[in-house]
Amino acid sequence: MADRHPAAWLKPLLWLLPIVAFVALWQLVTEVDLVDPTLLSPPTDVAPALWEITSSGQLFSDLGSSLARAGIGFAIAAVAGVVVGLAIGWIPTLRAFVSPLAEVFRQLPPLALLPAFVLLLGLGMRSQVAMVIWAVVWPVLLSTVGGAAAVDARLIKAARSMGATGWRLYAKVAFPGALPSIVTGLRLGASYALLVLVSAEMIGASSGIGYRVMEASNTFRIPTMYAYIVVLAVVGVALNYALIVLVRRLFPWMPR
Amino acid sequence: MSAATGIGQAVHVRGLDKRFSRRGAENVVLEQLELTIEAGEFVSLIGRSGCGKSTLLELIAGLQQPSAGSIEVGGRAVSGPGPDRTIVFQQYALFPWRTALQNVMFPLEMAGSGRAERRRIARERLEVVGLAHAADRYASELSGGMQQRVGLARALACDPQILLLDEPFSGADAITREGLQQLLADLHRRFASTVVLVTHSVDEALRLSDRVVVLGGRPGRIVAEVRPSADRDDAAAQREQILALLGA
Repeated sequence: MADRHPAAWLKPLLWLLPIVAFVALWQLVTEVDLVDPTLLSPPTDVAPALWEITSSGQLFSDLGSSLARAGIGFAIAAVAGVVVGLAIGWIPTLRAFVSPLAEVFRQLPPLALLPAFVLLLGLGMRSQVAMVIWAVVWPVLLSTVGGAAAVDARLIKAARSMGATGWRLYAKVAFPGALPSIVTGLRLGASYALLVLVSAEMIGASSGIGYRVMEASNTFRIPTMYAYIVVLAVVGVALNYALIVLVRRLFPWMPR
Repeated sequence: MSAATGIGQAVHVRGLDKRFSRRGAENVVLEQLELTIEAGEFVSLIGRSGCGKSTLLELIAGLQQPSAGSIEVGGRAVSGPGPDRTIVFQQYALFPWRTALQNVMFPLEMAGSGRAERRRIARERLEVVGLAHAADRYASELSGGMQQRVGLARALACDPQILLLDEPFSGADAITREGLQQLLADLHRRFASTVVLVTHSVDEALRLSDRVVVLGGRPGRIVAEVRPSADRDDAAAQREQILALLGA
């Protein structure tokens, strides 16, 4: 029987290989003029642009403001979504009453609401954070409700037989029982936060990575535009990885 | 070792009815059931699926309420779950977010004992079931047999007077089952609690109990009571008798 898992030393290589291949292909299509290199800057032009925004410090100031907005919005939405979701999930009547509305709100594309947020909160940080909250709160809420409602009935029964009632049953059994589902919702929410924030920044902001992508494009500094896009990819991957590590650290019992 | 602190108490079931109604149709599970279990006795409830044996167990545990009649434990009417009775389920029902030790500590937390006390008792119980070495493992890191040992340790944490077991070993393979049965017999001797075991296995019932109560029919009623004999030929005859009653 062949071992279906790659050896440990091979793993990082296998992870890196497709990325290297992609960059090579990217370079190739511009070299052979398959795509106009002024429209799709080759990696050899993007790398210096990346160096420039990094060494000037511009990148870190924009990254800071983007992450701050996404982080604040995410944190508010996460706390609200989990707290309200646990309450709703535990009380069936409330669940039946609230879930359809949450489902409708979730289906609304957040970007379509940006004009409304701008009207209500003005251009700037507040409307962008509001959009992040909107985008994150519904998936977090719905997965929390689902998790709280689907806690293993046997565990509830066992806990009741050991004298757990009311608040303690909730805090010690229902909440940890719902955690795997809550974590799924939070991970989804984290990726939405970045996605929606960058879109919002492209439309109505004067700083942040999304704004820089748009600005570079408007001033026809195409390599710089791609440099910022590369940064977004790296940040997205890094955040997701950090979340995975954090969850494993905090909840070692969760199924991988 | 705090052995034999939980002296078992008697269970009196009188005129017990249990009905469920679903979409207007009434389902009578138990009707006019009379059963007395002596203090410290090991009683097995055996019967086919749907005879109401698990329902009876949950009624004694206080997880369900009787439709009519009464259940008394130690002279007091059962109105809900209590630390004097614990129940062990077939599918272990360990909390996956807790280690073995933390699982055993759960009922002690509910009973309000202090942190050091909980830790001490839980360690001691894990030792009794032979799992001291696995105290810090999560349920998913334990085999089925080990999980059920933790389940037993958890059930014994608060020195219950009545230990209720709902087909606790039916998920285990034959060898594991053998070990768990041996453990249960030891625990009964050591903790001296009253034991009510719901099982599908005639051999298990005859081997472990002082008395086998055979439930049958719909609604469920007691069709026979057998006191297992030490004599091999008698035991074989009893086995045949119970199997015949179960319609096997």
